[in-house]
Amino acid sequence: MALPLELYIAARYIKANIKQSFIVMFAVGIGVSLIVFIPSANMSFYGRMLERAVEKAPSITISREMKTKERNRQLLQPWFPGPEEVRISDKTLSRKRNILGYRTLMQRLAEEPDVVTVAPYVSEHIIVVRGSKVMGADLQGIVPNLEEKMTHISGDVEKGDLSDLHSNEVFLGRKLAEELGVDLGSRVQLVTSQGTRSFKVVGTLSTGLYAKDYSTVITSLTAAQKLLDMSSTVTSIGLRVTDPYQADAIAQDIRLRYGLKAESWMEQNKLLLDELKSFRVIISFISFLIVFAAASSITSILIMVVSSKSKEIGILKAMGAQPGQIMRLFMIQAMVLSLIGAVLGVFGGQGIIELYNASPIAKMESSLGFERKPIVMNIPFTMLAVMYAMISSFLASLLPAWQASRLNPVDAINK
Amino acid sequence: MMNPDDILLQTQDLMKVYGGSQPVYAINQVNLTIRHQEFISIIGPSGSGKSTLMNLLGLLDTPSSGAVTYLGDNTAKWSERQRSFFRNRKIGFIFQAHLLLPEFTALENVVMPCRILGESSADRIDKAKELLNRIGLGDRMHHLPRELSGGQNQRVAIARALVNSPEIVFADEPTGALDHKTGLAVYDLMREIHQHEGVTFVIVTHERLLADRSDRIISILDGQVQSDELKS
Repeated sequence: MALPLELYIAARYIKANIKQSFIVMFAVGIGVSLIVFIPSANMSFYGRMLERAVEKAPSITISREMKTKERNRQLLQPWFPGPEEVRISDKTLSRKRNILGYRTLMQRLAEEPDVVTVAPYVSEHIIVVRGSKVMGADLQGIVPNLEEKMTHISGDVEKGDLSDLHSNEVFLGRKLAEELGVDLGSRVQLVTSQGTRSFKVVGTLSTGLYAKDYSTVITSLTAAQKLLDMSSTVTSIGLRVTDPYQADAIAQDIRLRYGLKAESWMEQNKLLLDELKSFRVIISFISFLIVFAAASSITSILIMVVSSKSKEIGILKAMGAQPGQIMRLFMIQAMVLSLIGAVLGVFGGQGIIELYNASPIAKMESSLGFERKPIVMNIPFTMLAVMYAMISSFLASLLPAWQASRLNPVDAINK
Repeated sequence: MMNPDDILLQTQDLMKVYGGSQPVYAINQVNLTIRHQEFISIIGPSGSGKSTLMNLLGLLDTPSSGAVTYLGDNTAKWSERQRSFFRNRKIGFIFQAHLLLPEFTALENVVMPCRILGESSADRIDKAKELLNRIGLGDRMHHLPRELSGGQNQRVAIARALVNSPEIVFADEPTGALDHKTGLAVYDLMREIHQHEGVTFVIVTHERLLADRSDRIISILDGQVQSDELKS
């Protein structure tokens, strides 16, 4: 079957004007490559951070009992939602910081329908001493088997066996161990305001988070309680819920019903999520500008083509070509070029990603405290880039195509 | 008395005026009747309005006033689409510069009017080949215009004008860009086609010698018909 006239002529124009065609394809290709690479690079980075925020931390952290005054205010809010001042009198302004009777509380929380796992924590800032080296660190007392269910911590273990963690034994972050110059079997002093105790290093952790690997000290819950003289209290309880994206609502429910301070992972990572949102807007804007620039080249080159082809347009019209056929001819030319350019751009983007992944930059540790991992092509952004390039090219071709279709055959032939 | 069925084309007080406050009458009150199978030359000096008249008669341009009537139908009422369709089916054009599409071979150029109409069947291609054979370009049909001489290109343009079996062919200075010998050969070719196919030819030229070889000579000056001479 013969090609439609418009495609037939457009294909021949593309072939005959290969240099101009190449410029258009190149411009669109570069635009699409950048749109594929930049968001993929950044989305990979933010995606990993988000993934870590969701998977490597509890969905909800119950850190301490809420001030009763604050709890009462929240409980009264449904009845006094307006601007009225509600005077709440409460002689007990706050309760003890640590969570008392945490086992009972954990049992109750574990029975909540949305809760999958519950784990207790004892957290405190401490000082780690090894010989003359003194480092600040974050101590976390955990119950290893519960922590495994909560954050799959075994995936972060570099050396040692966390499930076999005894009293007076610690796991250190990989960087912290390096800084202190300790290895398995070494002993370190953990210094708190309650005193100093010696612990044996039995493992190291590599989380991929530079700051965390530089400051983490893990002990068993009971060892941490003893070190901090907390008897049988904990500083926080972590919850993993069935749908992490419902954590905000569940945390609010727990706050109201239990009178506890409950923070979702979204609240704890608000900055990250806000950054991610604004990042998406910025990337969309940059992408728009890049493809707009590429589309401008389509407009200018097509205007040149229309100008240089005016005699041929005139003769086509003299032979009976309809204005619509002339218009479609140039639009198809633009669309075919930008489709080829966009496809080349996708491969180009993938090429840049692979070049980047193979480069030494990709293997360096980020100063933001995040280990770089290979960038993965962001498929939704890639599809969006191709669609956007096509739509832009379509719009960019409208004016020159319309001008061509409106050409008076006599004027066009006599040009 | 002229038989109305013989009339292919008529103009009534045809005017083409350019400019505003100081109008230029490119065509002024032209009344013409062209019959089927005529071989006409329109002559006149440069700027006399003969090409403008051809564009109006060929429906490439619209008159400022007056009418062009084809087969009794006033074209003033036609839409752009109807005019395009009519040009494709009933009119052939040959221009001074051959105006072939440079990206297409001789054969593809000849078939182009059929493709515009969505017809590129084997029959049409065979007809285009036959036309190219007839004008002596059978062995050059797969060459691009830049690979052909001026005379050969003009012959391709003649074949293209004839491929849709038009009622009338307008030729605007078809020999203007050719040397005298090649020009005569092209003119003779048009004459031969006219005699064999019975196609009406209207040839715009400023060469009196060529015009003298046609059946009717319409002389134009300042947009008006000076003489309309039917040769015996």
